[in-house]
Amino acid sequence: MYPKTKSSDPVVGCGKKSEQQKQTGDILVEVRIYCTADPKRKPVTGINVELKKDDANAGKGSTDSKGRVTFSGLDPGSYSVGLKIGPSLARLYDVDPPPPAQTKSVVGNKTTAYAFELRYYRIAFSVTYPDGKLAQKVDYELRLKKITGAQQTLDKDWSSYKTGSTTAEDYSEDYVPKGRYQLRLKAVSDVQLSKPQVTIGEAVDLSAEATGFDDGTAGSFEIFDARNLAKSMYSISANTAANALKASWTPDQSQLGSLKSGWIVAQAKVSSAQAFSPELKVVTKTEYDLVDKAGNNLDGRLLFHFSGGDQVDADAAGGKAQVLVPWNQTLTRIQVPDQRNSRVELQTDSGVQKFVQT
Amino acid sequence: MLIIRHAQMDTLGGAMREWSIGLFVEYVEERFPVKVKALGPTEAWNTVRRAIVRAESYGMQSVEEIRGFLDLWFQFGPEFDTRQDAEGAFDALEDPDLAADVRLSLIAARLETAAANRTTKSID
Repeated sequence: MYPKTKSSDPVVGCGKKSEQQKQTGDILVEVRIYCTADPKRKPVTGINVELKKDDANAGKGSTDSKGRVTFSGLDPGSYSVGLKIGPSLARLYDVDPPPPAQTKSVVGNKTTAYAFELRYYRIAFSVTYPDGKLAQKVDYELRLKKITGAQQTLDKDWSSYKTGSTTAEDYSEDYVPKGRYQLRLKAVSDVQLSKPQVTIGEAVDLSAEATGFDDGTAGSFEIFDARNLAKSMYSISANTAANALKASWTPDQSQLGSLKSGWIVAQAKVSSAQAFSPELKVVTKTEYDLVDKAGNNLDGRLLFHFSGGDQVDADAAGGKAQVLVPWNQTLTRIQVPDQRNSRVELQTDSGVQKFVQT
Repeated sequence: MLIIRHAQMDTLGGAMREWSIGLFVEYVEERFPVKVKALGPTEAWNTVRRAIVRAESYGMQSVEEIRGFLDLWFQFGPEFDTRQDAEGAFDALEDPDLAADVRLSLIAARLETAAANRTTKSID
């Protein structure tokens, strides 16, 4: 309880005080803390307070649970109050520059208040997808730079401060030590294949950004049917290097045996972090022999129609055309675009299949 | 120091109370001439009366305490004590640990410190 200077003796009137009865005053010091993100002031316990009168020590105290300390029975006069903050507290509060000492006049029969505010440090971050939604279950590591005084920051200069996984709310932590922090998200993103479609038998490069992992961390690219993400059809191992996961893949028929949709997606995985590539069409390079009615080789632009409704342009040269046939689709007909009524039909002559212009 | 207790005021009757309100109106006219003029005599009187009732609800009884409360009322606007200010300066009004005059002294100290910090800590 703090002094209630007028609670029980309300009417002083104009009575003359005895010369021997010296009137003394009190000082109430309050220290509260806040941060920029949360300006609501809160009391702080255990801050050392020094009282001085005429540059001489007049008292010491430490703030209680309400952030307060009182000095009672003080002779009237000018008193200076300052906070004494040691190195350990200086790491938690912004005391650069330190809060200046406050000087006020203390008069008899009154309590003079001194208020101090200290700003504390806070860390907050959120991880969002490009559409702004919070990304949950992203592993992170907060690292705090050790005070080395070195000009160049090396990886060993950082120590792990906290690790965790993002949740449905932004991360924040109050009263963190002053320092330089690094946030490493253990995340995989931007999965890409080097070609716009996957051709059986032709190598394709897979790549993904993989941040926050040490080089050499094992990962993989899992190949899924784009319409069935329940089970991977094929797995390609890879290791992280320079914040990336890379591999080369030459697809063959056997690896994609269960592919039904004709479209695949690649999932890059490192630990529990993962991300998917865009969907890619799977095609098979097929060569067709093409002749006209007279048996001459066909040349020129042709339009190939397939059972799934796909149409593919291809140039025939010397009676041969290489066509990228969509996965699991059969050729239904071939059109010669320059000759409106002309078609190319499959004919079998002595067991040999040929496409003949009719 | 003169203390005006609510009960005493009631005992002294309405005329005495109106007289004391008049003294407080004069006080705010001196301290906040533009604001009081803008209110007009009747509204100024009513405002001071409302402020005194509010001050008394916080246990403020002396002339000095009520003047201190009026200073805050006219400086920060009516109902300032019910607004949630981020710096929490006015929370002290309801602090049961502090005497009424100490509450006012603490509020003044808090406002002074917050204003100084706003100036020195605004560039981040």
